[in-house]
Amino acid sequence: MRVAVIGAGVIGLSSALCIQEQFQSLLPSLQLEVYADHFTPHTTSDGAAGLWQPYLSDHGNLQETLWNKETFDHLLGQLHSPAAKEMGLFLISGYNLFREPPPDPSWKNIVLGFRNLTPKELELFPGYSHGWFNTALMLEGRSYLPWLTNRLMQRGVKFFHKKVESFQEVSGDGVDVVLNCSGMRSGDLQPDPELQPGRGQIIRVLAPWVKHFIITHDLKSGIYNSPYVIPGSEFTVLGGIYQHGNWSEENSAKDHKSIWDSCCQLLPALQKAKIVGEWSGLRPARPSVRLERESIRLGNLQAEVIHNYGHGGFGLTIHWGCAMAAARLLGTILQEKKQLATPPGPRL
Amino acid sequence: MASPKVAVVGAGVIGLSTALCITETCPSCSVAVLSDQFSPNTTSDVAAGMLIPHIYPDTPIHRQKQWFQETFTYLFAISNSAEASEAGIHLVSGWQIFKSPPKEELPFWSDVVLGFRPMSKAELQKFPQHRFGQAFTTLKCDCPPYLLWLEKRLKATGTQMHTRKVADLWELHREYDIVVNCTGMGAHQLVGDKQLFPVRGQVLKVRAPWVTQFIRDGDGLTYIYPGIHRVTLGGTREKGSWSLSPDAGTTRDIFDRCCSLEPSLQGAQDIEVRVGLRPSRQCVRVQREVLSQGGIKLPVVHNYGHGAGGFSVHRGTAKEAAHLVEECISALQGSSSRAKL
Repeated sequence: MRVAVIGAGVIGLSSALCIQEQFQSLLPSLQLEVYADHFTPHTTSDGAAGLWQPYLSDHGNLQETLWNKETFDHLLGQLHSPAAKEMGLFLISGYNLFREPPPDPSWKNIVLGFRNLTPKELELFPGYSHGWFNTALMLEGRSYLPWLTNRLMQRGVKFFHKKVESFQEVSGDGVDVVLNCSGMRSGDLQPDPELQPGRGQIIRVLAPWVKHFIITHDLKSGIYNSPYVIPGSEFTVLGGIYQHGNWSEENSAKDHKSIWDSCCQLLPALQKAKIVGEWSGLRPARPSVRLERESIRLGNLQAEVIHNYGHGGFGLTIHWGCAMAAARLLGTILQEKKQLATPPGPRL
Repeated sequence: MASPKVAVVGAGVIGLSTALCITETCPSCSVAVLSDQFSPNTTSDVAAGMLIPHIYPDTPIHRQKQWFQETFTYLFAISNSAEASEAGIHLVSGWQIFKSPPKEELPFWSDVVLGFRPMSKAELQKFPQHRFGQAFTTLKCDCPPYLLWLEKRLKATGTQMHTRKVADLWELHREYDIVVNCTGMGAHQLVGDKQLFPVRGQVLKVRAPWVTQFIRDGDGLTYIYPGIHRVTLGGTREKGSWSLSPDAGTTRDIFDRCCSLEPSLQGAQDIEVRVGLRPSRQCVRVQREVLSQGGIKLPVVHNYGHGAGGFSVHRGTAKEAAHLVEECISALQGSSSRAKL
């Protein structure tokens, strides 16, 4: 039973691990393979700051809120394990700031200690009239992806460095199920007009005195088009760019200036911070995550594909819930193929 | 008195901040800081510099609160400015946790720090051995940066720094009009204050940049304070111990206690062990005195005995000491004009 995962970002690797953990012992013939043209540290997941925080609203998409919660709870449970540091996982507190009263977010009861900001705290952020404080998690892709990769390799998962041009290429080769975790490039495998780039740009600086994340919001400009500062274990990420439909992965001088000026206005001490890098990436944006099965007719073959892409700017935030859902879909497929009596595994 | 000459003895956080306050309240004063130790070799350099007050049994609470409020307000403004990183001042959030219910549900400083509230049940799950907790955001003064920043501000006002061991305050009466005694533990010897006693503290300063939250056990013995480059792990409170040598068994014990609160510290690197003697007293001595010897008078302002709470109240006590210096100057001017009659 060969299962091919296309994509080695956080979605591909975590889906592979979830499947491996749930099915390997039940199905000794299971052979997992990961195909990708980019591996860590060159994936979109590596560029993201790594803050666990969904968008402000789930637009009624309760399924995504549930996946976010599953991810948070799963990571929280790993915090005290010896693997936490290697995973790039740690607690962090911080601020979300608004210029007008915001509705409560879908995740207020998922994070720890969620509360409104006091007037004195708001003095720190002139121009912002409302805000939240809460404790959340950081999951740094640059550590998490190598950790996932190591776990997968230890368990016999094979990795192939190649750009997969079509589902046929993989499924025609004797692969039973394909997991499409190709993020931004899913459209190359199967056109999806709903999938669009949400281009972001970030500046990496050394500002180790900053111990909180600060995310500002301009409810009219949309998510991540307002400055944010996210401290990590090696550097601090400054951002605030979200350009829908822009495919460019080149750093823009105009965006650099916009990020720099707006973040320095937010935290004047950043003017003294040393710039150590800059990066642009494409958030694989979609009105909702595509997580579903599809049977594709390829010649006289029936290929089973599980799609798991379109996580926008919340891939790390939602990844584990989605990985478990993908694993459940695989369980159903295996049942149908009479590989399993009943699908294993837990929850939901 | 055109330009009173003031000697501040001691260059820890108390000496430097007091000297700075004096230059602010008395611009015509000529101030010099004399100390046998400067940063990074002062007691202040060992401390984490967290703004969490220590209670002085014999100082009225309203006075302690005022000192803390003034200090917090002063540092809050710096943390919010472009100078924050140079001054080493930054906000830090975290938890104070208790195994048994704290004596006071609301400490006197709960409305001075930011966002003080009880911890939620979900938050307490991180600490299975503790049943109560308080979450808040406060400030931290990292040393050496903060002391070096104070020194830089002082030098900009023309204040001279002299490395010099003062064995007797009377050494200074010829060169200076007023002496300010900010010698911390040194006051035990220098002015013979037997009410002053050391409380030995050993700490570990480690590299663990993924630790962003402070954790303090309400018993005051175990704490994790993330600073700009290093996390301070503590500690001990050994009353009456004068030893400045690190103890290996204590190092192991501190590390274990901190790892039980924050397991990820097992991965901490570059462990540095430091020891400081908290200059402890039942009440902080902020007081004016006129020493007299053979017809010569020497006005002295004392500002020492801050124990475990030096950083928390430093600006408040420095301002009080600076006012006492002003009083000394008025008294000197009064007596010198009388002398002219």
